[in-house]
Amino acid sequence: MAAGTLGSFSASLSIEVTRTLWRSYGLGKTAIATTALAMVASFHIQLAFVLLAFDAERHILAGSVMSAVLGIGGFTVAAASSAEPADYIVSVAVGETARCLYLLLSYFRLRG
Amino acid sequence: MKPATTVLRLPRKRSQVLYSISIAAVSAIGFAKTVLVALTLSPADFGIYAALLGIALSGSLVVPGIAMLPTASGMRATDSAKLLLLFTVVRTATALFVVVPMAFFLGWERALAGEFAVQGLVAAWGWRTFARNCKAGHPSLDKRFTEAPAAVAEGRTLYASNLAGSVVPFGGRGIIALLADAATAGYYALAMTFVQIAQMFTPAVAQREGPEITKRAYRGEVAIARQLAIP
Repeated sequence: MAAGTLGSFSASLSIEVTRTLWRSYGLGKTAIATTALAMVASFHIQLAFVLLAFDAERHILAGSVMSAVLGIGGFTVAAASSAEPADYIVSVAVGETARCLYLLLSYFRLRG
Repeated sequence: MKPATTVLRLPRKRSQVLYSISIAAVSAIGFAKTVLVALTLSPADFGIYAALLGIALSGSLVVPGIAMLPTASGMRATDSAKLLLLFTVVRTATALFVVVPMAFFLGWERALAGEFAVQGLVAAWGWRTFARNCKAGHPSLDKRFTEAPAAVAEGRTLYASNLAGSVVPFGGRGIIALLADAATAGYYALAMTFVQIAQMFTPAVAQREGPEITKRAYRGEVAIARQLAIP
């Protein structure tokens, strides 16, 4: 599912209109790459459903808090350093990727 | 000792295919609406529009469960793929045909008002439809119905998890508008549209298929990792 979503996104970048849209909004390669990363990290939603089968609600909560703290923390740092729009997207990508990796690690640990 | 598990391919019913099509269609229409509004408005105006819409949507996290019934989640519970398809397509298509022209001709304020009006009307229609299709006397509709204590405790943890997990998706645009400026929030909102397509599609499918696979995994009929490969 994550691969399909990323594939659609990548395919859309082959369309000139889409690239023009990104450029017109001042979003460069960093923004596109980190957006793609955040899209793949959306896989954490699927992982959360799997973890419910292990009664691992606390891990799901910890992952959500981790993502929120990293996201808001990133926004604050980016705003303080007068960052580009892409830096705000990086904050989300970092938070969502950390959440996804944490849930994946929890799954493997619980599975044993 | 762990029970032996076998990887099985789940039966692919017509309604499941229709469901996947409906979610994909809704994602596409919703995406088209957001991109067209972004193209119509200036980045600053789009930033304010997206920030306020995100704050309004966050209200769905704190409303009582009964108010969620006319939403797509409520429609999923009716187990009618046709009803879900109709509801979701009408909701997003109406928003597309109302909000985009309003943004173009009347500006972000009226586009936002149009968005709220459309969502309110469709929710009222959804509530009517849900009530008509819901079987009278169903235990879940009984006000005296009490959940098991374990389910309540788990539900609280998941609710807290949803609240924490919704801060950035719903509030991110508003926070950036406050910390930086509205135009930066607009740039960010456009990029996040792509991420939200993935975030919208994944839980919709997982919500539909997850419980079935979890039950089968518990009975040892299917490996839990199968869920990671849906659909």
